[in-house]
Amino acid sequence: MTELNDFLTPTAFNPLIYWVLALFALPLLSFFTSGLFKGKAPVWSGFLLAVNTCLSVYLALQHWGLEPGVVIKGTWFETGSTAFTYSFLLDNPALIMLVIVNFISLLVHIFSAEYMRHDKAKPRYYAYLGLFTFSMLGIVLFHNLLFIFIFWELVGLSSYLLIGFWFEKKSASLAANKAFIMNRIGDLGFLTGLMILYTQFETLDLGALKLLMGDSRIEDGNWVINYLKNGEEVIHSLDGRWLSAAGIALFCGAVGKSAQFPLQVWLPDAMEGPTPVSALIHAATMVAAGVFMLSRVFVLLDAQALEVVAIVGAITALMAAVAALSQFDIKKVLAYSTVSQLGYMVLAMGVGAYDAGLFHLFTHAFFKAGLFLSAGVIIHQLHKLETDEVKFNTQDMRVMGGLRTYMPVTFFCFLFCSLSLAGLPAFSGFLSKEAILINTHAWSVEKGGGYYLIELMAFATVILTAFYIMRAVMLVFTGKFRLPELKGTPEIVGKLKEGNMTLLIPVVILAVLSFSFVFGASISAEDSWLYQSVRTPRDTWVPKEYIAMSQAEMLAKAGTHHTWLEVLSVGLALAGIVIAILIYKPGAKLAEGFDGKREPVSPIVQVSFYHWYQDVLYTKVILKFILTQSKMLAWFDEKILDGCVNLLARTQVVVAHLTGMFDRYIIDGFVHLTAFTSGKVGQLTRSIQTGNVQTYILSAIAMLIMLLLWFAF
Amino acid sequence: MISLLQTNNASGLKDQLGNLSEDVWMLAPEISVVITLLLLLGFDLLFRKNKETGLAAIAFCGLASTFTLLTFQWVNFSTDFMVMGKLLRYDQLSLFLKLIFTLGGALGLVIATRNENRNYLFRSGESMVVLFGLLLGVFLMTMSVNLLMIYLSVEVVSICSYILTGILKGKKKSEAALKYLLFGAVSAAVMLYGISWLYGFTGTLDITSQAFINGLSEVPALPLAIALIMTLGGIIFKLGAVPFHIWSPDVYEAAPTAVVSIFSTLPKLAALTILFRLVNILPAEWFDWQLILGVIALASMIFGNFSALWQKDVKRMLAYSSIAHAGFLLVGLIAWTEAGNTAMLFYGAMYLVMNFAAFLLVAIMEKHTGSSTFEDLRGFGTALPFAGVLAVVVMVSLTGLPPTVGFNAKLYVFSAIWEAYQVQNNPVLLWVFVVGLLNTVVALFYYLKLPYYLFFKAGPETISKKLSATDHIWGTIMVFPLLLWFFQSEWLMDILNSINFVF
Repeated sequence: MTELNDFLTPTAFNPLIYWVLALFALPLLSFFTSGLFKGKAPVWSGFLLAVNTCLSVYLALQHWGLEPGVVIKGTWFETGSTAFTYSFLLDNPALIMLVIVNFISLLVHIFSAEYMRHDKAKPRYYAYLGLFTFSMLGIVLFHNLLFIFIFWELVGLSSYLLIGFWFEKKSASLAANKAFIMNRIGDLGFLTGLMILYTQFETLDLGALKLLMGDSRIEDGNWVINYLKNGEEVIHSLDGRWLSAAGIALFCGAVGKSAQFPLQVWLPDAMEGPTPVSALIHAATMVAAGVFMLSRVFVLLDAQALEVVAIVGAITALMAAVAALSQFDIKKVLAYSTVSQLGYMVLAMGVGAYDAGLFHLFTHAFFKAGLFLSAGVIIHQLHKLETDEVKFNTQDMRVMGGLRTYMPVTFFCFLFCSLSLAGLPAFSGFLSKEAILINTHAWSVEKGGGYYLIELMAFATVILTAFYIMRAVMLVFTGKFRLPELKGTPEIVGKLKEGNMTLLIPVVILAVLSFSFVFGASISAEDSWLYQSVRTPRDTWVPKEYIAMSQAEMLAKAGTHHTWLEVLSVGLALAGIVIAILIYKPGAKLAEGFDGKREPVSPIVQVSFYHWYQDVLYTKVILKFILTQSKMLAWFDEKILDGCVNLLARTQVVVAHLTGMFDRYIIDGFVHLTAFTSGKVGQLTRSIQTGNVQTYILSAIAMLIMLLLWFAF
Repeated sequence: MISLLQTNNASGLKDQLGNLSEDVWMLAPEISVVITLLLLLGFDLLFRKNKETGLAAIAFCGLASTFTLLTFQWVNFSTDFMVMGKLLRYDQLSLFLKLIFTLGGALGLVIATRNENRNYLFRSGESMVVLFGLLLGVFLMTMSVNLLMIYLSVEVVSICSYILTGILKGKKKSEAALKYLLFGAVSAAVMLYGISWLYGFTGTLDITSQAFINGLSEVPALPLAIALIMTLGGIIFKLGAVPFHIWSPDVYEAAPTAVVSIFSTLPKLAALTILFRLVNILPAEWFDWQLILGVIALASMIFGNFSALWQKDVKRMLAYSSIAHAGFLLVGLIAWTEAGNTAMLFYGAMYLVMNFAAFLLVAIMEKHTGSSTFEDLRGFGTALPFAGVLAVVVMVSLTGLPPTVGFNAKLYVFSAIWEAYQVQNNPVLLWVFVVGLLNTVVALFYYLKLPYYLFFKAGPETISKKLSATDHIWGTIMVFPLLLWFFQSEWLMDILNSINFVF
């Protein structure tokens, strides 16, 4: 039988720990010291992040491809016989995430130096970025669910702080609250998952959890595990359904953080934060943390949980893609697009395609950050046109149009990232999306029946994605600049310029990284070095009654070569692009009338524009229900509970008066008597002190003699 | 020297001198004190004006070097030694006490610098020289194991004390000094008379020698009691316990605060050491120490505490409280156990710290209000909250309540006597235990009178609201340990437990 403590013994000292601590220390230092540097905060924080990026690249090169990764484990603290451990795992996914987080964070630091140049609270902004990077690295590096949860919450906090960075704006602080609350709902699930796992296994160390999960078995529908703890046998038995429940509960955490249905409503609102923040947190890294966490607990998820994951992912992908079709705000389009792509990643995890999910996470991080930063350049440059007289919404696509002439570099960067998002060959998005689609197909074939619906949703999302992103490209960059006409200020045109190098360099780097040759010169994901580096775990640890079919088996059954699938998906993407171009090309009806467009009236378009009325549902039904309930409770509290308390208090006062009288006359009387006696004794004893030295000596000698006499007789 | 030569007739003068030069190392701290004293004297004679800085520097350097030497001796201590032809004894107990005495001396000087009229100690070398003489006296007291040496060292301390009391001009001060001198002379005479009886019984002055014990064993009970009680007289006079306590209130009120802070601690603890040595030599069967010391302790506690209730002056109140504390110090000794000894030393060390803290605050209060009566201190705490809070902490500690080290000290002493009672079943111990605890309650009334006047009575607006930074720092340094050691009393207890009391 296995001994629990064997799994938790600290590893021998590994100098690598210093590197890990340094990785944590630098962003944290940035958090604490940015405030001291005032105007120089960007330089200082950027420097720290650059060093951290170099560190992470060095670490990645040093430890690349080590299977199953380097584990550093130690004891955090002990209570009684229970040890709480911490552990780090440096394997390929962690190393890649490490580089991505640091690298994109660095680019965002650089970009923000220009974007936030005139903001007075710049040091605070950089401090928050440092805190975010620190927390994100914690999720990436720790291999213990408790620590992941702690840093998970820290990430939530820094996200809250950054969304509400311009808290003077009512909408920004509301959005921050919304993000925070939605995330808490998800985290409640996460915490529940941790509790189930801890109840069963008494540890949250992921390495130990895997092995213990492998030892557990199903007996008469019960999920049973027995092991030795400090030499004593422990048996834990739960209903088998708790196994699925644990997986689904953990997934709830990802639902909150990665903005999945039904909690995804916070992400579009989160666009109230500064645009570079949206690029870093709400596109590339934090929202991907949910997917990353799913990959960490992947081997603990059973068939039931994975099915839920897949379905939620598919629904999210389609819903958000539909919502992105009709937005006016360029950042909203990108936000819904992010939700949709996260849906893809989650879908991939659900269908057992761990590798495809992570691969899409990595490629998406680059091209989506690129899209956001390009949008940031546009917003920033448009913002410069604003004067005291001319005010407009700098994120509204209705005021844009024809920007290609003014900002060619930005245009090409935005275009390349868009094509990558749409999934055209030669772009990175193609590789990863292809992998997901193939796996989804294999899964649907295996499951059959209604599960083909999931595949259908995945493919529908392809055409929608291509359409909405091309729509954005056309509306922003082609045709003529609509702002001068809207505001009646033609002279404004000449003032619009391309962003400066600080803005463009990060954007160009990200655009280059959305080409597929970076990840492998092939049109198949299989051949990409990045894809190969994150293999789906071959061993599954869930008891065999609950185990899901492995990816390899499914692919083998369905056959791995699906040229038609690739052709179909590329065809769909092209179709979406062509339709978008036709509808929104300069001179077309929709493109011409776009500047005057208002909120839609047609119910079908409204479904898209208002994101399936989900927000309305929440505010009008759920929120109202909760508020009514709380009013009732408040009434109950005020009238009934407080009434009881007041009655009790009155009774007490009456009793107090009685005891007070007892105290005053009986007890105090006794005390006064004592004090009086003490005083008399004191007067007696000090009466010797007459000030007359003869008396002093006499009394001393008398006392001495008295003492002697008393002693002698 | 003559007695020294007589006791060692067998060896020649050369060997004698050789032995003495070996002893020099043991007496290095005393020599350091003497050198400092001489330097002070020389400096005082050579310079005519602005001597304050120089005197203070020499004094603090002297104390520092003494402290260093003592620490060195403490660390390298290997075994007990009889020094100077069995006149003195070099052991851990005396080393520990000398260490805290040196600290006490330094703290006393610090208190002197905190007084507005600061040059009363530093203006001329005389008072400083006398102060170091007192220090030398208490050093020798802790080491004395020869009746003659005991008498001499007690007298050194006494004479220095008389001078220090009267060194400032003023009718009241001169009167107090004269009273002190007369009273001291009487008690010294009583003591000397007692010693002469003891010498007559035994033919030796060395209390550690077998001859002394053998001689006493043949003496009938009554003469022995008369001799011992009279010998105790002089020691009790230094300890400030009943019945030779009457001098303290007048002297404390008249003498400068810094000097009083030293009077109330150093000679008391030194006298306690002599008492400890005497008591440990004579077996309990011959002489009921527990009874006699128990009566003295009880009388001191009752007398000190109850009289303190009526005092109108803080310094006079502290004088009576010091009489009561002398009683509490004796409690540990009465227990007659190892734990009792340790508790007594702990209490002594803590009493020293508390007392210096208390007198520092009195000095600060005097500086701000010009007086040390309760009436004049009204509203002081409201005007200077920091100093007020410090005063509350010190008073709570003197009372012996948590969370201050005064509580630990009383706890150790009383638990020692309770354990001793359970083993020995001597009713005196029970009496001391019960009355001692009751006295603590009485003490609460007069100690907390000070906070009451400081905070709850409205005072005049004239009190200066500015507390100097140095006062802040010294106040914190002296009061903070009282709180810290409450939680970490093991630090000191570990040191005390390492002291070997056997001799």
